[in-house]
Amino acid sequence: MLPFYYVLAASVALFAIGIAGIATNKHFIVIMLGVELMLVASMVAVIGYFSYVSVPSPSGIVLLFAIWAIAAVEVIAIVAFYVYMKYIDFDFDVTKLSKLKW
Amino acid sequence: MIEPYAFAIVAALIVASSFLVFVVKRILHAVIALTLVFIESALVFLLLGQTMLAMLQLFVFVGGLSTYLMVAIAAEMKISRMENVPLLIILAVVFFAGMGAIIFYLPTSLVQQSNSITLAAPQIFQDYYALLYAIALLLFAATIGSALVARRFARLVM
Repeated sequence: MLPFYYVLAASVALFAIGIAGIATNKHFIVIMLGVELMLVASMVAVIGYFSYVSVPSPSGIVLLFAIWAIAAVEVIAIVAFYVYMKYIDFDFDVTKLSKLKW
Repeated sequence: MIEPYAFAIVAALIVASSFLVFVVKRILHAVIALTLVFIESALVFLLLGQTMLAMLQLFVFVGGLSTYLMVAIAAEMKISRMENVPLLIILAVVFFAGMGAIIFYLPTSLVQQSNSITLAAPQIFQDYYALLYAIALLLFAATIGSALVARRFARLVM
């Protein structure tokens, strides 16, 4: 079987790329895609830990279900925001979102 | 013995695809790159022996989330004609060859089957049923919310 630190390194790399992308991008949708990348990285880490323990625990699978649900909810929110903001010609640049109410 | 090399290839593809998400100009191409990340993460699950979780990852993320994202974003774009037919043919052939090689030539000994999820599954539905209900309610609330936003959007259109 693969050494565990291989899987962990892949997970950390994916997480780091996600964070770097969120920090350097201005587009709202791209930032949300970066959050999705971070969720995938956390899933890879969870699966890695789950695969390498001697006694399998159900809490790893339940955590995986929770991460799937959070990712699905985020995608639903992305689509809803994207369609609405596109229709009202709202700028996707997050640096221009300076007010909570207008 | 072949697993480290296969994992190295998949890890390189994951890193390259995740960079593409932020580098490409069009949002639809970024979503396609994200879909590739989802597929490659399922390959990682497969290399770890978690076949059922890899299948669920493909069903939920690629079959559900990515499809939903691509349809929603592509529907807002005004695409009237094919832009690059030779690239389309080349990409189709490359993907067919790659997926065919994986399906027909991947040795079964490469994937060490793990029955950990089989051992843990009965306990999940006994000890964690409340959390699973909470997850289902969360998804239900999000779906209702998106339907309300779409209804308000339809009122603005009509």
